[in-house]
Amino acid sequence: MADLLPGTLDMLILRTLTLAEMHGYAIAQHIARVSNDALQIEKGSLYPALERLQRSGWVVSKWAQSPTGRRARYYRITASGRRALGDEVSAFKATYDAVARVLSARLKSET
Amino acid sequence: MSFLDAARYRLRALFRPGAADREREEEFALHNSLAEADHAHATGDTSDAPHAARRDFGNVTYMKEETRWTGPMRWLDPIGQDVRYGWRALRRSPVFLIVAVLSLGIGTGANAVIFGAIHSLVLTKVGVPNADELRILLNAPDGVLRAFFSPSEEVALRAARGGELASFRAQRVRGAEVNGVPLADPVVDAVDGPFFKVLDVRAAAGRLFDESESRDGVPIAVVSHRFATAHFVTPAAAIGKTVKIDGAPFTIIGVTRPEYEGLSFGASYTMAVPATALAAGRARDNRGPGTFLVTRMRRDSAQVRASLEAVFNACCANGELAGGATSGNRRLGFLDISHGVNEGKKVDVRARYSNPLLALMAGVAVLLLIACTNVGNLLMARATARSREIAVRLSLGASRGRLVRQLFVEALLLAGCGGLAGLLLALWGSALLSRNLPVGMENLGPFLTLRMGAPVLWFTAAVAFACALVFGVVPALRATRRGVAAGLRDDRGARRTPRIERGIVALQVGLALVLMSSAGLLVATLKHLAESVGGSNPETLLVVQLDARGTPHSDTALHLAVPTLKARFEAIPGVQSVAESYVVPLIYGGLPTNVLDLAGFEQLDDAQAEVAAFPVSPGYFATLGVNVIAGRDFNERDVIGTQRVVVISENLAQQFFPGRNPVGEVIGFRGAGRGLQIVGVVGDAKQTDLRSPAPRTVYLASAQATDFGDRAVFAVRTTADPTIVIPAARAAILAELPRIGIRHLHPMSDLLSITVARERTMAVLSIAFGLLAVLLAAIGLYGVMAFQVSARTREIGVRMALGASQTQVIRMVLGQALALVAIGVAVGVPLAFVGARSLRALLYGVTPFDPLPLAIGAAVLVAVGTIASLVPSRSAARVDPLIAIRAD
Repeated sequence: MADLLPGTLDMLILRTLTLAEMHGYAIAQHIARVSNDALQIEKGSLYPALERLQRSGWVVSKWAQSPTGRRARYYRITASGRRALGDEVSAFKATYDAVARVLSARLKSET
Repeated sequence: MSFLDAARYRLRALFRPGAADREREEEFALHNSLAEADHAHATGDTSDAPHAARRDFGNVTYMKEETRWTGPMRWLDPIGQDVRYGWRALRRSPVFLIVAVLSLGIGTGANAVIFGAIHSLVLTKVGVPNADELRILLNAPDGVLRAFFSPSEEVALRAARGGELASFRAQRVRGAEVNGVPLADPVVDAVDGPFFKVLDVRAAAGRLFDESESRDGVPIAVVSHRFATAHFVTPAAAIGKTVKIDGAPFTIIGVTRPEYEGLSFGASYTMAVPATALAAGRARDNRGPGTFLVTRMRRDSAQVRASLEAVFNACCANGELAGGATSGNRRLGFLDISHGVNEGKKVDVRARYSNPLLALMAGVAVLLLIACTNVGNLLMARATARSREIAVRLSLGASRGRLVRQLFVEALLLAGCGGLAGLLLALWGSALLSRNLPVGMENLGPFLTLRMGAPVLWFTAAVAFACALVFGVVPALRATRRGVAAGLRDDRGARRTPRIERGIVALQVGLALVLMSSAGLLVATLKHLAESVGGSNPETLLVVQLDARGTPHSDTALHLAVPTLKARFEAIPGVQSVAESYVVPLIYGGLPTNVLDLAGFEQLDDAQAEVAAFPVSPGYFATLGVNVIAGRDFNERDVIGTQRVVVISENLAQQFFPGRNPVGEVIGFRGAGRGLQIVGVVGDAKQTDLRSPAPRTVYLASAQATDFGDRAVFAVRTTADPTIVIPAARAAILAELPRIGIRHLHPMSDLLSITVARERTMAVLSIAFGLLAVLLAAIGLYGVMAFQVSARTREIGVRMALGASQTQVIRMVLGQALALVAIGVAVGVPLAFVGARSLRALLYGVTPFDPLPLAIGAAVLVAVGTIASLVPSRSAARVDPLIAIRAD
């Protein structure tokens, strides 16, 4: 996966969890699928991020049976997590727009 | 609630680190197997699936570390690790562990016991809201605690205070029972007025009685929480039950909250009843001493005070005291009772013991400091021994901070173990101590029993932490200061006993000197006090006090039996002489006084002319060993009908008859006329308190006395140990007065030791502390010297190879040890003076700057220091130069 902007991974995870409770692998799969495999979340980034989100109280987890019958840890976004997601998304949008403006300006000058 | 979720998560991780690890493993395993399955599905190849998945996954261990070491609480995790590691390290050297924990335990334990006593004796307040506002009313002529108010005065004052004034009297009641079971002397508060309203006490169950119920004498009782739970399990179950006082039933209507334990200092109340509901005999008592008027002084205190004083001055200031004694210039006073009222006529335990306890606290603190420095020295030696380990860890990339923390955690562990051991020792020790208090100090018992409450626990925890700071930080910093290279090279030549360790030993010696010299001062005090009693040879004097109160014998019967008893005592083999008196020497309270009246001294006010005055029989002075300085003793002709005669004490003669012979002069007592002729002057003798100077005394002739009183005292001089005479004396008493109360039948030396029990206990404890301190300092000195000798083996070998003799080597090592002791003594002398100055209030007959205890302490330290360094110096002398030089 290409380097993400700092904080982006947290945002992606939070966004994914707004759809449903899911376990870590499902989160990674979902992000990969939705991004057409452009965003492959390494497990080495995913689980520390989930740990971090839990410490912040934005995500909570519980152990439950997965459909295949194995025990899996399911993550759920909390109300404060949803608020944080809103903040992050707007912050990201602002950054994204700024970056886009810079890039497009340069592109124009090149042409 | 994000912070709650977050906190729950962190706490879980903190308390169940193992579980979190396992769950992480499980989560990763699931992830792996799902990824494997997907991989297999995508490629159709299953053989390489696990490896491929793991390649995807990356370094599992690294990742686990990463997931663990994130977040703001991460510093707590490695501390758990530090604790486990430290514990392993400590367990590897059990002797060190035991010595350190034990010495710290003794130190913290002693601190906990003394702090517990101080806390319950000095710091604890009455369990009511805003206890600082509580006051009792005094009518104090000269600031003396006198609180007798007549019923009419009480009514007037209560009216002036408008429902904010109540009275109570705490008394121990015999013959109370509950459920048919007699109670062991419960404390019954007989109250009147709006008592519970003034105190602002609330009920834990039921209700508390109010002013009208206490006025009407309804037979109801409010009991303490402790009593209710002891006899009825729950407070609620006590409501409606009956307690009997003097056979009369009282219905329990309420239970107070557990924090309220009554107003009496040192004795928890059992129940409170309306004073008017008590039996007539007790009700009359309720006007006597020990009845207190209690009120609150809030911000309006100046106003309240003024209005009460106005009322009092108008109605009562010149009235009669209860009991008929006239009262001059009574003034209203207010006494802060936020710590409780001292019970009746008893000794004021708080005043008597708070100073000694504070001194002991200082002593045990110094002791603990010495113990700490010893452990610190041990830790430092350990750190030196572990320098290679530390160097290896540093070279492997451990940060210095981490290592310092690791070593400090070890110190904390030690201190924690020491604190726990201390608490156990304190529990055991305080129970032992309060059960085995010397005669005369029993009333300290309840305060010494350690109450394992929050204050004591916090104090101990704080002490343990402070200990760890004292002995843990410096060794930890020092151990990690040496560079990696130096630590790994481990060159022996560089190892010298660092200055800091020698400094610590010197400090220990100094502190030990402080404790030793303080102990010396207290021992000297004890000796001077014991010698200061007037008279001589208390070992062969038997004191007998008989009491007719509460017995079938009347006062007259007792008085009439006195001559017969005297004859019976004299007939006992081993008895030299018998005298009769009125006062038991050295027993608190009850010294009769009167106001002297004599020509030329009429202008003195009553207090200045107050002297002790009591009757004694012929032979009293000889029997007690009081010298007759001038004139004569009483004799058989001094009886009623002849000239009334007195003998006066020397200090009285010096004050009132300076420079002339008082024999033949006539004196008297104010209000009774002059007419007492002085026939003799005797030496001064102490009567109540050894610390106060002997009272000026007028001895009256017992045969001329008209007021016999309800007690009789005999002084019996024996030729040998007076305890041999005791059975015969008892038999003689019972033959004459079969049911008389025998208050005292003791050798005078016993009374003396009761009187100096506090001082003796202080002396014994301070000597024990002093010796412990010396022992610890000796151990410290031994450690440093032994280390120094072993570190300098090669140097010593060289010296010997160059011709130094064994004696010279021994002298060199001893000289260095004694130099340390000398530095310590030099440091200790000013410290000892500071300590002695703060002891001043406890001393008697010695000045704080007495050089003798210091000299003795220094001599003991030099002797012990020499002994402690003999072993290292001998091993230095046994160094074989050939081996030593080749060693490295």
